[in-house]
Amino acid sequence: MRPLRAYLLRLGGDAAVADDVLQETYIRYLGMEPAHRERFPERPLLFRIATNLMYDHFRRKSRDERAVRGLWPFRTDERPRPVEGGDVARAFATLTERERSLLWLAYVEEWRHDEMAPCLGVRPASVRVMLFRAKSALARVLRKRGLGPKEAS
Amino acid sequence: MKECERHGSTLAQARAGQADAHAAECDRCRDTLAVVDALAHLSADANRLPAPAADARVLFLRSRFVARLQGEQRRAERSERPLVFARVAALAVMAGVIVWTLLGGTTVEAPAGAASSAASLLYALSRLALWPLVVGTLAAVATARFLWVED
Ligand SMILES: [Zn+2]
Repeated sequence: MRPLRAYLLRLGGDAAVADDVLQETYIRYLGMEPAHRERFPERPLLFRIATNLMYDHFRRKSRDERAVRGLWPFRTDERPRPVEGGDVARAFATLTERERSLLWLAYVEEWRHDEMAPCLGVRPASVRVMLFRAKSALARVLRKRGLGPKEAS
Repeated sequence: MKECERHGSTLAQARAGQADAHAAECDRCRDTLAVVDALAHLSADANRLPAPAADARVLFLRSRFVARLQGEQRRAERSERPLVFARVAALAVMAGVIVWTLLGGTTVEAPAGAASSAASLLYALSRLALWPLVVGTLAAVATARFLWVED
């Protein structure tokens, strides 16, 4: 429960969204046919459902934002959305959703590439390359913001 | 686009909070250190954030409750199926009997001079006691298909 919430929080940057998705994830999970549910280990399945729900949320949100921008005749400033957490959280939020998922599953959940692939809907062979890119992207942002690891310890 | 060959060992060190000479020299391994560091921080931070508006356990119990309701509803629908099926089948057979009776049944004599061949064919069909059964069976099959198609 807690690790999944942490993941959703970092994926979405917003506690309210994370909690909604968390609840919906459990509803979907427990609403599944028991036979189907028991065929997979619990944790990867929960993360997979949650990731899909979060991606749905992002898709819906960007569609709504596009629709609103279409109605608004003036140029609006793209203001970065508030992110809960400190500088590192804000740096992390500049990555794409997929990059965030990849890094979290690999470095926090410590999943293998073949475990991550179904959760993200990509081929296992792509995970390696995508993960490397995501890692470089985050390291670049961290460096640019002066948030690198403590120098020469 | 490939990870450093010492990525595994750097990763293990990063998780242990150490770094050897290679990790300090190598660009890719420095990235790894930075990323592991950042994610450890984010994870600890996310776990420290105030509990969700509704307590996680309550959320969990509530969703489990909803799921149980859904399961019960599904089970109830499923257990009602034979009843619905029997009802529709009985109605269909009854309708067949009524139509059969209206069309002449067995008690009525054949019309003396059946004007057209269609009328006499209809009459001949209505004479068959199988007729209501056929209608009933067809209706029952259609109902069964409708009721069980989801499984
Ligand atoms: Zn290296």
